[in-house]
Amino acid sequence: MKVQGEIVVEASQEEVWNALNDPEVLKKATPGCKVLTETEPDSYKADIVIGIAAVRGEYEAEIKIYDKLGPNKYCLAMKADSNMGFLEGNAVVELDYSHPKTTISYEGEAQVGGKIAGVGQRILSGIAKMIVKDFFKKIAKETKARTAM
Amino acid sequence: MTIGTSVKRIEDPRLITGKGRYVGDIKLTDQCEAVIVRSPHAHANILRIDTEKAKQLPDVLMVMTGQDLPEDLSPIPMRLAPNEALTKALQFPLAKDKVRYVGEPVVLIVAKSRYKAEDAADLINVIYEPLTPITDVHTAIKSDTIVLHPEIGSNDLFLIHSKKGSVDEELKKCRYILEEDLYVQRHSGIPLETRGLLAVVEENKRLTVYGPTKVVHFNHQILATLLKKDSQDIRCIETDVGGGFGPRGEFYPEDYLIPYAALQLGRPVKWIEDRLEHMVATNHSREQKHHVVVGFDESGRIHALRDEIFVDTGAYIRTHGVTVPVLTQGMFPGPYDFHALEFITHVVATNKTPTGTYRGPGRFEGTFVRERIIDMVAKKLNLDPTVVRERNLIKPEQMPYSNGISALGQVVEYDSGDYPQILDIARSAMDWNHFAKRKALAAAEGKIIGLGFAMFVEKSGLGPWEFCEVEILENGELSCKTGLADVGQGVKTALAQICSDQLGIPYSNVTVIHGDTDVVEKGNGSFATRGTVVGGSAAWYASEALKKKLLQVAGDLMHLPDEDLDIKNQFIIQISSQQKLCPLDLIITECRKQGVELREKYTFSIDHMSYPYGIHAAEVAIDSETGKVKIEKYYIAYDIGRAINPLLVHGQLVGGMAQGLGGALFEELRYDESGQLITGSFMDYLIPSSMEVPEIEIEILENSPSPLNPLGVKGAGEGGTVAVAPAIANAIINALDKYQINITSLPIRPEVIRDAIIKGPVTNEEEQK
Repeated sequence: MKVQGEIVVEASQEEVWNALNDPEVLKKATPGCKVLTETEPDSYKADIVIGIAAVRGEYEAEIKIYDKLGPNKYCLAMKADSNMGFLEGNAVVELDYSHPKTTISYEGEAQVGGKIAGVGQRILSGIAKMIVKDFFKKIAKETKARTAM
Repeated sequence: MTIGTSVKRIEDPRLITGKGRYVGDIKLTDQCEAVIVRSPHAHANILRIDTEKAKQLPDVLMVMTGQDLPEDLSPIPMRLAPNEALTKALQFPLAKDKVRYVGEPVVLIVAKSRYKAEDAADLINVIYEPLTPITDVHTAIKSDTIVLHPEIGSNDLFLIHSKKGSVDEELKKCRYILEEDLYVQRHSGIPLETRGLLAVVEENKRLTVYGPTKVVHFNHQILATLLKKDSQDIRCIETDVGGGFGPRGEFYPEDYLIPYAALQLGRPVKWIEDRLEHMVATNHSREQKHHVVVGFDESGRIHALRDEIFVDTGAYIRTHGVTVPVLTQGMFPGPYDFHALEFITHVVATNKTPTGTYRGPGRFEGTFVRERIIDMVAKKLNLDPTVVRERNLIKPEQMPYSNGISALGQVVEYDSGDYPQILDIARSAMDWNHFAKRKALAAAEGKIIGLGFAMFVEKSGLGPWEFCEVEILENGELSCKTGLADVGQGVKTALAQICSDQLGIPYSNVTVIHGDTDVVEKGNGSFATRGTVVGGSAAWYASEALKKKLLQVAGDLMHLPDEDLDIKNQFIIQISSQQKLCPLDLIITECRKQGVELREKYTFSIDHMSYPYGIHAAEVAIDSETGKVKIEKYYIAYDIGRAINPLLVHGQLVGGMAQGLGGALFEELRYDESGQLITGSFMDYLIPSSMEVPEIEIEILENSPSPLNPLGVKGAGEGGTVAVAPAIANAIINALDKYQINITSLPIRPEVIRDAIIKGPVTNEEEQK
């Protein structure tokens, strides 16, 4: 399924870029993230707990950031496994600055497998969109919080 | 006389008062439960399976992977239409080093309770290396696509080619040629009760398995072979069944795993499939692509038909072998007399759940394609589709008629039938002659209505034999042991009626016993609409033999020739004088005195199937805003030779129609490109409910009794299902004849109809193209 959207942050492009590359911010922004550790530069391992009906469960996730063109664009790949099945996704994240705001736009594909693919297919894309939107909303919030400091 | 009467089902009082005993109801002391870890990937190598954590969990009794299967274990064999070439695509009970569909069993866990087993399943870590999944038949057979069963060498596992006459020659002579691609979607029977098994090792080391259904004696033999045990050391017991429909009751991986675990652990092991499992683990069915070429003349007479069929058989060959594709071909011609026919069927492996039979296997698919084609021919020629049907029908004087194509090891030879007659009956029942007028009147009121017909021939009474043993018990009741199984079709009632008719006793005095391999010595089971035809005939002859014995004793006693004696209403009567001579009980007592054993066995063998036939008609109203199809009237006429119990036949047709309606408008086991089943729950897999199933007008006809069995019966199990999709599709096309729409695939979705209506009526110019 396709996931795309954009969100506007009242911060400079540099500030947003830094937030998007900060493990602390990523941890806070990732919904249900309990632990996030950097395994190597731009690679993270995370334990995520999702409490939404069809995808409820504990996930072990691997997140990788690649093809970085700072401060304009990066690609993000995520793989998460649980007993309910697996989630896989990748997205292109682009930043566009127009004083005094930065627009984060994201576009990607997500795929699910196992039990979670068979259950509630019609609500899955809604859930995926909600989770991703929530992630970027929190990025925006964290960026603002950091900028305010 | 009870044959031919709608007596009440003897199965019902027990079932509707909650006294049924399903496998889930059985609880044994010390019973433990099994859970199966299944593949989340459509296609992947298994790199490693970590089972240690699960094994260490308290109360976990057994954790088993494909590596732990006995080394000399054979894969699950084919029960029907076996073929040597396909043995390389059979499935092992657990995946060995590769998984080929989402839902494939990978690890078996047994624990003291289901909770514990589920917890242990969470601790299993399987490391997969995903491979490219194959989800489409055309991709599957490309030369550069990965081969799922390398020993076969191609994903085009098996080719079935049959022909009659020369299609190419006939096509050359035809003025009109029509070429069309049609698709029938993957769907399957959805029993209310999912599968379940309970296996226990008795003190004498014998293994007892509760839960096999449908083909209990067959599965008993397969289990003995796979476990390498003497079949005498295994007892299979059929429990009550919450729906069969074809998929339920075949031999699946779990049918090996659960008894195997019980033998290993020495305690009862139970497994109940949950619904999410069911959707990926139990046989799917139906998915076929057809490429049809027909040649015809201006009168609508079809001279040649070629169909190249691609069957998406899924990841493995299961117990049905190639039954479904073979039946698709053999039954494709239906009630029509086509000069030249050719079928080329590819049985193609993909990374989806393996497939098997589902009510009307091969015929649901073939009937949709054929009956749509007939309407397309009519449309092309601007002829009445019922007239095109009439012009192509086999005439009664051509019976018995062979269509030249083989199915299940025999050339299809229709035993009897008057096809033009049943078409006429349906036309007048639906008031077809005045329909155009009614349609115009409806249109004037802004209503879009349409009427469609679909004819079909069914097959029933598959041999090779069935067994029955009858015995008059001490309590005066008749015990009737049959090799059939009770899958809800009313087999007990039908057999009781047959025995009661022969022996002049009330049908309620007959106890039908089935499905216990210790009690019934042999049997072929209930499938392929064979029960009443083959099992009923066995009961008829066994009862007849018992009656002869009774009359012989009566004749001796009364010094009358036994040919002049009969039994009616529990009395011995003299046929010539129609006088009651003495109560039957008296003769039974006399038999016992003389030491005459009141027991008879009969094995009824039959080489040829019998062919019931019928017609479905649907009148629909289309909601022009939403594209929703409302069935205003639904009609089925079905000639089954002779109805033992019209009430049972009626029930079969109503239930069958509901399933056909599901296939026509709602049900689809749809996969995404990565091989994930995306309609894996009832939220997305839509089944018709009482809200969607219309009132169905049913006419049971007995104009063409089968000459192949003593009862003249043909089976009634599947005729309600097979022609629903084309009847509704043809009705929709008839309703929308001013619009640009051609229904070539199932299920028929409202958006397709809505889109056609939004585009508006076609102009005359377009119509002529």
